[in-house]
Amino acid sequence: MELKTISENLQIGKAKIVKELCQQALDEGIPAKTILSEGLLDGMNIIGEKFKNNEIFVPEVLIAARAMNMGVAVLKPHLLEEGVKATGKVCIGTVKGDLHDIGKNLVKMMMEGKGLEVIDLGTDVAPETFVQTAIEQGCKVICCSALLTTTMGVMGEVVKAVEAAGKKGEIKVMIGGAPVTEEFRNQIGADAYTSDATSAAEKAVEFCA
Amino acid sequence: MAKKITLLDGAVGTGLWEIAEKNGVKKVPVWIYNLEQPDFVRSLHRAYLEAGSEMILSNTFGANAPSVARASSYDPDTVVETGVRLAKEAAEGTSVPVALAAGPLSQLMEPWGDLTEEEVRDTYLRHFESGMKAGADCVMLQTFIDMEMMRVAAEAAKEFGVPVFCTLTFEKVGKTIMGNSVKDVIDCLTPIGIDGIGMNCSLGPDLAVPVIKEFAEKTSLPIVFKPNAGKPILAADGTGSASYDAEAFVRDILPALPYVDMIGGCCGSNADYIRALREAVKAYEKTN
Repeated sequence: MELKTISENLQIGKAKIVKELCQQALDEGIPAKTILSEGLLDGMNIIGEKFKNNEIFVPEVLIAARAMNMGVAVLKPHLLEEGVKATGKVCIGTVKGDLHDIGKNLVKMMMEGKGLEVIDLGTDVAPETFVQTAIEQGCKVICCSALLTTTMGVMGEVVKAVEAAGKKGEIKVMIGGAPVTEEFRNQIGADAYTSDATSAAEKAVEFCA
Repeated sequence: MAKKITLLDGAVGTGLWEIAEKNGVKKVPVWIYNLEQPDFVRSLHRAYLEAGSEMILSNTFGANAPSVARASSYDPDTVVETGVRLAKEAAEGTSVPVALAAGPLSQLMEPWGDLTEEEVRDTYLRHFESGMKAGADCVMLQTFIDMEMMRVAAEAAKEFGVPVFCTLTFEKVGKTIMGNSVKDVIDCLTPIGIDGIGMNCSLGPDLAVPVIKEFAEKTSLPIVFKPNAGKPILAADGTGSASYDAEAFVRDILPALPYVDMIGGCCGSNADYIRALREAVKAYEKTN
């Protein structure tokens, strides 16, 4: 079968069909790794590009991500069997004092769409939790989200906590959210600021390479 | 007949943080100030009234019950009631109405999120009931990204028999992040019998003008426009500084005046902006 069909169905959010097609592709003897990259991740790449360009919006991303997750669930045991590793490991969360997770969830979806393993720490995450998780789980990147100008200062504390743990440079800190800017990134000394979910995922892949 | 534009107020959230910062008080979710620093809230309202605001918004934007319960041990009804009461006190002796402000909830509604329509409706009914009890004159729903959530909120607000104004926040392409276009929003909200529609926050005035123009072209409802002051420049700890420019704000907003019926400022604006805006609006009204 053409793996492009999986990608196309994923893009229009046909979760059940994506799941069936993934199974069918496995049955045809196509390696899970190939199905993942040429079917699922290909579809999410296109979704990411379109979202970045304002051609599609949050609902389309959500249904595509749901379809991807259904497909990944089918592939997972086979990926493990084939010894396929994620392209990298990151942890993500909305910083302490902030409960807004719509943006954070979008970034997570885009990152998973790039084949990254993402540990979701949820909302209201303390700086030490970010750092501790990254060290214990071997994450190369910490991703911090904030929607409030009152909470974005916590991102600076995350940068300091990484330094205090002696992991500066080794664990990168990425920041994003509506009030966050490149100037702000520069002021707090974070490793990267990205303005949208797709760019965040691309940057994280770069850091994990 | 000369056109009359109603002058709204400027930012309440960033305005209160500005006052908190000057007074060396910790920046917290601003609805907490209703109970802990009521003088800050009253003085901000007064500053807007002195600057010429003809309608002021209560400090209740994010004070919905789930958020208040998550972030504090305060009673959500008291937070909202006090917010409206402080605005009413500031406006005492004037004819300036107080709009009960409400923003979106922090989660998405079904099918995109977990909130059911009923939960959303109950949350807003409670918010409005508290605000109305304290004497709010109308309702201003602001910064929504999902017109469906706004529909539920506006329907709930309309049950109180007061004017209801609806503003959403748009991306540069003229759609909300949920993908709602200006036309979608008008079609969805007009049947509810709302009293004004438009946009707030999101973009600085220059980028927002095309969206406001589109609203004016597609509906006969009064148009509400409350753009951001522009992108704030923040200090390393996230504190705001006065890195905005009231003159640039007014200059950028002028092209929108032919389209709007109610105008003010959102994040980053303060009484200086409203004062400058008042002069521009006056001058416009004289010549049109």
